[in-house]
Amino acid sequence: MVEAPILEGGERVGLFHYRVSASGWLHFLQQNERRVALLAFWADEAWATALFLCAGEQPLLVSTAIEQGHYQAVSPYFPAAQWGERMARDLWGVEAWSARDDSPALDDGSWFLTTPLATHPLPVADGGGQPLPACRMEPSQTQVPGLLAIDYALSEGVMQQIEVQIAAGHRGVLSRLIGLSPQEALPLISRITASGFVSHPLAFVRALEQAEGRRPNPQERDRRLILLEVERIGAHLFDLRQIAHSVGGGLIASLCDHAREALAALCEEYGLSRRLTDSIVLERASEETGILPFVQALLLMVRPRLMQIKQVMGVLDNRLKNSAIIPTGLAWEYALGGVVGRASGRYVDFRLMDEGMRVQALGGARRHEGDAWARYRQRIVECEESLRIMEQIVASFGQDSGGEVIPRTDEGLGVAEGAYGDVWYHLQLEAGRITKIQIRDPVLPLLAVLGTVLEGQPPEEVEVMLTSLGISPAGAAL
Amino acid sequence: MELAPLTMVLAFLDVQKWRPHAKQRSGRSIRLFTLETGSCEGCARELITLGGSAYPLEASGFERVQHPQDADWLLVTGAVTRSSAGGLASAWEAMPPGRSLIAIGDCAYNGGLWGSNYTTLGGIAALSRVYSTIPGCPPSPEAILHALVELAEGGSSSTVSQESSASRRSRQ
Repeated sequence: MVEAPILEGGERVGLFHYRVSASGWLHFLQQNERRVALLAFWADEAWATALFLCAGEQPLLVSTAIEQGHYQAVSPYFPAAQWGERMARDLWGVEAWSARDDSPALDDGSWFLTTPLATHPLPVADGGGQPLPACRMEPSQTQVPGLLAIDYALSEGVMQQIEVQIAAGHRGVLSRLIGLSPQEALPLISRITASGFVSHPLAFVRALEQAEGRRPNPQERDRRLILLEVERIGAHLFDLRQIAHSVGGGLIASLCDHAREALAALCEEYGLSRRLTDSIVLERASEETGILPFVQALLLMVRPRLMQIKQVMGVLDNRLKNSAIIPTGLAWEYALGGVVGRASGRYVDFRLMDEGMRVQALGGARRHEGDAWARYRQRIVECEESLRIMEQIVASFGQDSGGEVIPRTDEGLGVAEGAYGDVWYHLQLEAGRITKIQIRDPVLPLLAVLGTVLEGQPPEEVEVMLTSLGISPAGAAL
Repeated sequence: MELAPLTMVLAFLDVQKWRPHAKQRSGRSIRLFTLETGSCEGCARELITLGGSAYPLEASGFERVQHPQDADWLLVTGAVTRSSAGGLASAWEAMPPGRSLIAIGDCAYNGGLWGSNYTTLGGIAALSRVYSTIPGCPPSPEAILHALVELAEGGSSSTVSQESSASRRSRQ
């Protein structure tokens, strides 16, 4: 499905980054519509940038200059770009010609500035907000921990004309990060989303290290790989709990609750924070081996609990089958990652690209059914996979993998395969400060397909659907 | 899928065995309504966890309710975005007399690392002088429960912010 892209006349400006003219941009989009997958689209006042996934899971950044506040929209060719185009319009005021959707994504009329990240934002006298929809499911009415509202029209008991709203959760993350040093930025990035207390800062640190032409020492590299798997287990246990709770599976919810809290207590006992907040650091000079006894204790604690959950999970099968189906084609078209993608037949896992990853531990069962049942099973399988990965890392901790040294370019692109999919950071530095930063959280493409998934479903089914998808809007709302 | 009855029984027994002990306190049950107002969702997740079987929330005299009009205490998480401020005000107005407002986590108290900007107001501290706080980033379910029990007993929680002379500011 992913082939070598056609890129003509581009100027290479970074390791994976090319700049093209407006006509080159349009040509690229037209020529590559079915050849590459779009992972993210970002724009600011100066540049529109699209992140693609090419053959061999190689990333490719293509940028074109914004001309008089406009650029050719990406969404007619890659529908997954819709949310990025809408956000860029809200934050910087740049317009996408021929966009599939130009409604606001973040600015719901409550801000005191319009286009707050533009050079000249406009003050707003009095925010009026958007008109209320026919029906709205407020965030407090869903099991989603963040601010996700669903507007819809109700027709014959089912939802139609669905619009997903995340604007209320926008905290101005990008505006806070620009101008900071990496050291100053890291605590904020570590708190962008609770679904990525490890994966977000790790993707950022990897982008930073690429920009600065540095590599972590093998011990630190392995420590990070371990933390990523610990986070994955905790996140999956939370989602399994939420799914079970939404369909009345109290026993399984309890088992997951207790397992997750035992994991949190173990983290604390071994000197980490309970949910691994601030566990990713910029540089660690000393060799780190304190994590090894932690992993040994974790393996002993988690394995029997997972086994117990597996033994009873079948009681939910009938309730979860055929719920919230995401077909394989849709998963590929929108580059849905993580459990959602892999349960729908899109077997993409960026851990395979991680330096030092014990790839032989990867490759557990993959599913294709794409329903809540498949995602539920996939989460269990991935927890077991995480245990195998950690076991193998411990067996050869700190082994040098001999990666190549890259030159300093002050531009970096980093990825981390978090519990919910691939998290990407693209940043540029100047005099040691962040001048540009863009973030791609895996929930973003999921929001783009959510309306399609919920269309035609009764409102009472929303809870199990949202929990099975693991929707966590904070990483997208930023 | 058929499950062996013994498997289910053992799982039930384990859950019983792990059941935590209630925090003893006197007085009537206090009804809690939780509201997220713009955060990383960490505190909201901890509140969900607190409502699960790993912590004795109900056994300690608290009850989670689905509507603010049924609630005694409003537990707020998040830095209070301008967009969510209306919902916060509506929830507060809908609550019956004797209500209390409690900021869960650093963001809900003063915006945390996000502070205030074009889209956030900077937590409850910027909006009201009548509230209590349970600090942390995020506070653990255990710490939240401990502080809730202390507040219910009318004392000042030991987990409240030291920076604030009145972490438990007051109750209305």
